[in-house]
Amino acid sequence: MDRHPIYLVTGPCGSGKTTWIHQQLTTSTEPSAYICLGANATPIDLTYITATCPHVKPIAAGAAWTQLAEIQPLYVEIAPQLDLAKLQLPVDIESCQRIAIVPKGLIESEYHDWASQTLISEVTEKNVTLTASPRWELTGEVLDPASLNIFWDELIQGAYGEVARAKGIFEIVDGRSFYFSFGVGFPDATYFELPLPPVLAGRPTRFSGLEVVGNNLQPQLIMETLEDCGLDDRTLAHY
Amino acid sequence: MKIAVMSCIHGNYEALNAVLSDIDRQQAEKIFCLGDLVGYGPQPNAVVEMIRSLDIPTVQGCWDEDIVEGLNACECSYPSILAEKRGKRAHEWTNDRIHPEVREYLAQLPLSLREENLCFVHGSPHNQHEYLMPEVNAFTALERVMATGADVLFCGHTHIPYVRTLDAGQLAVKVRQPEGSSTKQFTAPLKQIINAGSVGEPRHGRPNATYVIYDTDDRLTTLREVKYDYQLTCQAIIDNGLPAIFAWRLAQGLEYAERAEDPTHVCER
Repeated sequence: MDRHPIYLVTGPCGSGKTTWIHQQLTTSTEPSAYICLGANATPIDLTYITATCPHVKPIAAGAAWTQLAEIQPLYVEIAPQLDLAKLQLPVDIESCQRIAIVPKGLIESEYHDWASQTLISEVTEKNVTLTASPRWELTGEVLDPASLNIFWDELIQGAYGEVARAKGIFEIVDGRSFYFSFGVGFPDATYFELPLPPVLAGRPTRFSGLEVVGNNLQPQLIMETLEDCGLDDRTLAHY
Repeated sequence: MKIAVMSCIHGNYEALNAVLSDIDRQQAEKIFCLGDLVGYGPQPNAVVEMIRSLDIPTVQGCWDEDIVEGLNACECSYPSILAEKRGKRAHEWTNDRIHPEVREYLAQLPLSLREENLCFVHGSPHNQHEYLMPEVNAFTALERVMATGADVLFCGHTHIPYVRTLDAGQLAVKVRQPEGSSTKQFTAPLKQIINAGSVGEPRHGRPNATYVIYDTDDRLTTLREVKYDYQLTCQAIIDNGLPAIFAWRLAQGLEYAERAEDPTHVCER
């Protein structure tokens, strides 16, 4: 029986790696697996993929790769901060499908050199020097939706530094979980509710968090503003 | 007679200076101010001193009231927890720095002013906190103007300038009582609501100050947008320890606090 390949998917920040993998996963309902390497503390992509594709087995970063042999196809998203030249996997990399997702206008890069197949995404190349990619785990935090909207608009418009890419999963006061995404060159900023059961009592224990990639970012100010968007225990109990 | 009407200066002395210079150039004979002299901005005392020194007829805004009586508005003032926290920080900062004579001046400001067929208020004739948005329904708009007995109602508070003309409006009021019902009809001649925008904290997507020039002879309104060195105010915000996000929002032409979701809600403080 033919084995489905293992797809190693890489590309610059915000080129559309998760979007492409999500598209592949939603075209089929066959069991698949997904892992995101390089996002240990804030598994935003993992949460997004598994919430929207219930047939996909999530593999937490750091988990034993023995699971890889069990479910295939396997999609391995490789975060851009990982050095492709030094990448070591418990499988033969040369035997995998190495996919590079690159923005329009990027003609030559380490991703082109490394990949066995290069796909051009809808995203246009951005002229932003990326110097920081702070992440915040927000698990247990419940945000006021109106405050979240203000914060998100400020964030993507540059109030806390130049943002090239931002994505987050946030829990709001009525128990729902939302996925937010923004990227320079993307058609639009987007957000939608994740198909997860609402948390109607206490603080949610499932993952929520934020990742921002950009230049001259002010992580302290971002964190303080997120804290200002949150509900304290008394207010949460009221709801 | 040509008059100038300005509103919502919010402690922005640079913007006020620029607007006063522009009013001079427009040769307005009289200036009216619709309140919110203080709050959010870094120079509340200087702004009030300038308004007082020029003896500009001024009504009390919601921020002027809050500085005098304490911050106890109902939830309408802050549609989000974030806006509320920012508003409280701005209030605390202003409250700590305002001079006693400035507070006394704000306390004695009237809620409305009349000049012939013109009426001047901050939010609406009913409340300094009420927003008269340009899209508010015609019945509400007409009722607010007619409640003043004037033909032209000048307001601010929304931070977005506009002129709304209510042409030949009619109001019908039906009163039901045990002994029967009666209907009263009111026919209003042409009425206008003129919103002066904001001098110091605009919300029209640019940092420029706005105010209006109104000619009482031909009822012609001119919305004025005045450029000034807003970066000086941004720097003063940061230098004086106000939240840096206020400087960013000023530079974008975004108001520091968002509006309530139901702008016609009347504050019940």
